[in-house]
Order: sequence, then C-alpha cells, then structure tokens
Amino acid sequence: MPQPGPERMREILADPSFRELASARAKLRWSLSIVTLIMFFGFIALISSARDALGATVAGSAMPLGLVLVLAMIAMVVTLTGIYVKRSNSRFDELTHALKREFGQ
Amino acid sequence: MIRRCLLAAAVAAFPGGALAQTATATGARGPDWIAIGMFLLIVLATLVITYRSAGSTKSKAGFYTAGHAITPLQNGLAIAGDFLSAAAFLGISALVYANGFDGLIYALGFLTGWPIVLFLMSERMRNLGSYTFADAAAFRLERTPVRLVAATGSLVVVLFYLIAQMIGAGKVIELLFGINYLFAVAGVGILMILYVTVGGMQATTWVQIAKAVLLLCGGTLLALVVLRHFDFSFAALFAGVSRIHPKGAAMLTPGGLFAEPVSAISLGLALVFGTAGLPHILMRFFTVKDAASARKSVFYTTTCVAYFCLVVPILGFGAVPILMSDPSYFNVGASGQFNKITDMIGGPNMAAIHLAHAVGGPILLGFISAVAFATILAVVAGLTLAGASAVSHDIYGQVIARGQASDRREVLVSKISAIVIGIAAVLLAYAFEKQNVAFMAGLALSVAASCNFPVLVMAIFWRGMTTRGAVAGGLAGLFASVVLVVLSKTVWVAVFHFATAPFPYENPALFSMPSAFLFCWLFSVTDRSARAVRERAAFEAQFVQSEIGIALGAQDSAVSAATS
Repeated sequence: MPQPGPERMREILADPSFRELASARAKLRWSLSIVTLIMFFGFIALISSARDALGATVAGSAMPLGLVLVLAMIAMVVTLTGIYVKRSNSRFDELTHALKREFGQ
Repeated sequence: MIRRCLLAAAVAAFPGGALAQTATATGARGPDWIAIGMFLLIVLATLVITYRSAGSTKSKAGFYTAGHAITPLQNGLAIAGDFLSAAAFLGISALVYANGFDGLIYALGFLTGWPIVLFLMSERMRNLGSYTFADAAAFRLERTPVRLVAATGSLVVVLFYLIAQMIGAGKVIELLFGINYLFAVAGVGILMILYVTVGGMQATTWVQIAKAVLLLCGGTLLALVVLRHFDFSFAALFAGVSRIHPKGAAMLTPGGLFAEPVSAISLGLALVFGTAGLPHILMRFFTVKDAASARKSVFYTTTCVAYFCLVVPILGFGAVPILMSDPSYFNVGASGQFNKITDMIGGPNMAAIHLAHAVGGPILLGFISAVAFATILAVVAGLTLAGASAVSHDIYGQVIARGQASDRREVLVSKISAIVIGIAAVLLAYAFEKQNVAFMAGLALSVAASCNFPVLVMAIFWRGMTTRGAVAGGLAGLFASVVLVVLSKTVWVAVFHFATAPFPYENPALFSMPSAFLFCWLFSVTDRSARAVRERAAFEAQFVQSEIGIALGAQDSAVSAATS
C-alpha cells in the first residue's frame, strides 16, 4: 500500500459527505439502541411492579395483556433492525460508495 | 417404539424400584429405526458438505472465513444456526412448559441482543477485522496484551459453552438413540473435529445453514400440528393450559423467575449483551465480503430468531394439555402418582421431543430428534472453530509469531487446536457428567457480556481507550464474573454443598459488566504513557476505517495486509 499519509485522513474527516454519514449513522445507532434497551428493561421493570395487570385478558379475546406485549415486542425488535438496515442500505451505502470512489483504497 | 426405548434408557440412567417396574410393564424393544435413519442421513449429509469444503482450507482466509464469500442470507441463516442451540430449542420450550409466561421473557431476552449486535457490532467488526474479534479490539492498541486478554475471554466462553452443550448433547443422544453417554459425547466430538479440521469455516457454515433450515421447518411443522390439535384456536390452547397445569391460570402471568428485579435485570443484561460478545457469533461477520453484507446478515438472523421466539412457546404451551394428562410420558411412581414437570421421562427438557411423539407418532418423533441432533452438531462446530481461531490467530499468529507466520503454519496450528479443544471438551463433558453444570452456560454468557463486550465496544467507540484500560477492564470483567458465579447458589450450594451462598443472585452481569466498563475507563484516563498518547491519536484512522472501510495504514500490519 502506498504511504497514505495523514493528509488523506484529514481530508476524509473534513469531507461533508463523511461528516454527514458519521453523524447521521451515530444518531440512528444510539437512538435505536436506547429504544431497544428501554423497551426490554422497561418490560422487566413492569413485570416486577405490575404483575397482576399483565395477567388480565385483553377485552374480547383469550389473550392475556402480558402475552400481547411480548408479541408486540418481538415485532418491534424486527421492526427496529429493519429500520436500521433500510436506512443503511439506501442513504448510508450511497454515501459510503461515493466516499470510497473519491478516496479509494 | 422409541418411547419404550427411552424408558429403557431412563431406567439405565436412573435405576430405581419404581422405574424398573415400569420397564418390565412396557418391555424394552430395539431402537427406533426411523429416528436412527434420519440421524444417519444428517451425519452423512454433513460429511459430504465437509468433504466438498476440504479444498477451501488451504489459506488463512479460506479456513477462518470461507474466503469472505458467504452471501448475507447464507450468513444470516448460519448465525441463526450458531445461536439457536439445542439449549434454546429444548430449553425454552421446557421453560414455557414448566413456567409458562416466564419462559417467554427468557426467549425475549435472547432476541433483544440482536438489534444491539446490529447497531453496535456488525459493520464495525467487518470494517476493522479479518478473522477474530480481537482484530477489532487490538486495532490501535498494543498487540500482545490486548490479544491475550481477548483470546482468554474467547476461550473461557467457548470452553464453558462447549462443555455445557456437550453434556446436554450426550444426555439427549443417550435418551433418543439409547447410545451410551461416553460414546454419544465422543461421537459428537469426532464429528465436530472433522467438520472444523477438514472443512474449516466453509463446512461449518453449511452445517449451520442446514441446521437452521431444519430447525425452523421442524419447529413450524410441530407447531402447526399442535395448533391443529386445538383447531387453531389460541383460546382453546390457553384454556387447556390453565385447566391442566398445576399452576393453573398463573401460567399466563409473570411468575417467580423474574419477580425479583435485581436478578431479572442481571439476567437480562447477560442475555442482551452476552450475545454481542460471543466469539463464535462475532467471527461470522468476517465470512461476508463487506460491512453492508454483515449488516444484512444480522437482519436475516434477527428475523429467524424472532420467528423462533414465536414458534417455540407454542410447543411449550401445547405440551401442557397434550402431555400432562398422559402418564406414558412420565416416570409413574408406585402409587400411580407423578409430578407433571420433574417426573417427565428424560427430564423436563424433553417436553418438545415427547410432544412430537404425542402429536405425530414415531415419524415426527424421529424427525424432531434428528433436528435436535443437527442443532447440537452445528453449535459445537461453530464453538470449536472460534476457540481454535483464538489460539491459532490471536495467540500463535499474532502474539508468538508476531504476525510473521505463514498461512500454512497458522492453519495447521488452528487444526491442531481444534483437535485439542475437541478432545478436552469430550473429556470434560465425561468428567462433569454427574455434576450440576447449570452454572456453565450462565458463566459463558456473563463472561461474554462482561469481558469481551466492554473491551470491544470501548476500543471501537471511545477515543480515550488505551491498552492499559483494555487489559484492566477485560480482566476485571472476567475475574468478577468467575468469582461471583463461584460465590452464587449455582456453584457454592449446588456444587460445593455449602448451606447458603454469599452472592445472593444467579447471574453476576449487573455487577461484573459495569466493573469492566469502570476499569476500562479508570485505567485509560489515568494512563499518561507515550503509548497511550499514540493510541488515542490513532483513533481517527480507526474511526475512518470503521465507518467506510478505507484502510489508512495506521493499524496492525498483519490485519491491514489481510484486508487489502
């Protein structure tokens, strides 16, 4: 590999596309992580504090509320990963490819 | 009939007056040929896969990563195959069978680790490393100490996980096929050594893919047959559960397992962050060509695991009304009484297997048993490969040979390590057969969450991380996990037979994980050495490469040579 030098790194770091990519992705990454963790540990807190409420059946069905919440959370986990992958596949990959073309290996 | 064969095996394993009576009543017959036929078919198929992959293991990249040529869908399935162990399949269905709702929470914790793996790990792992997760951890830190800590964390996780899986495997195979425990464990050991040494990552990946597909199809089939039993009405299923289970309607509400918040949060942390620190899972991100493919793989994995979390509870709940009223699945006492959970033939973990027999006869039983067997094989093969890579790539290739070892030599060391790890796992599984090993899987997960995960995440995301911090944090997490597990009930009382445990919780993650982060931080910020200054300065090059995969030449020479 040719001596890439710190100039190329400084150029990349200062590049508007790179800055957009890094900051938008960091924002998405940390906010989705926090949502995931709040959801799961919030549910655990709910279990120890509101056990009886979770056992009540949802009106008009045989499903207990707790079970419905678990199903909703399973769906949420898939949705959250889906959101991240969809955003990354479109906008982030586009920026990455442009940056790779510009600064190359 | 395998049920009778199971009985005979159970009698052999747990001799007792009442059991012997049952055995004479039903009579022991030859083994079940449907199950054995399917089992042999799976072994044959995996050996063909291994034979065909043999050519791919000459180079380092071929052996460790299948030449980075696995597609995202294949890799996603293979990761699911790696992750969904027999413990997950048989264990979670049994947990739902015995505890109802609480089993679901456990399954949910299992699933919740995956978004974290996706958001924090997958892409950066792929951009920074080539063969093992230590590549990413040691990217800008000093090679020898950081790789030694990472390899130790990997090996501890791999060995405990492997022993726990092997003991479970031995028991399941002993019960299903009536094979002696030692032969069962040795057979699994020989197969996994063959897959890894002959076929490397390529064979391991395809064994995992085949297993994931089999497991998901088998689970779906069984769930559909169970639901048909209740005319596809969940109301009827839950009514049956509440009527027949000793816990009654409490089956559908949160119970004792997660009642105490400190234990619940600690277990939750181990489940969620442990997944993001499992070396055999992290290693799978290197089998695809780039970061985008790594990310897509995790989406497929998450979908598979989520689907699994929907299907497996149906099996656990369905087993309650179907099995509990049929004494032929239990070791019935002399008085005709039996405990509907603990007296199950082969133990409560066999709920899904008995269920297959109850709703689908010997054919479905044979199929589900074969699926359980395939599940075991894939997981132990993945673990062995991850352990062998930690020895050959991190300890031999990078620390001992300082990155100068030839591909051939490193692959040779890896194959020898796989054989040694395999033999050690068989011997330990044999030695621990009669021991209470409930702590092992928990310890593996806790070390993954408290040693591997904190070091990796801090090295990747935090500019201030230094070698001193990584070593102190990793060792603190490892040490705290091991000590607290030893002082907890699962070892102190169950293994050492003391009256009470000094550490009152089952899982140490709530304490060990924060102490790892604290030590990483404390020993990094107080590090005033020239090396620390260099390492902080190298963060920017690492940051650029972790974001877009362009190598700026500032890292570990061995890794840069491999990525270019």
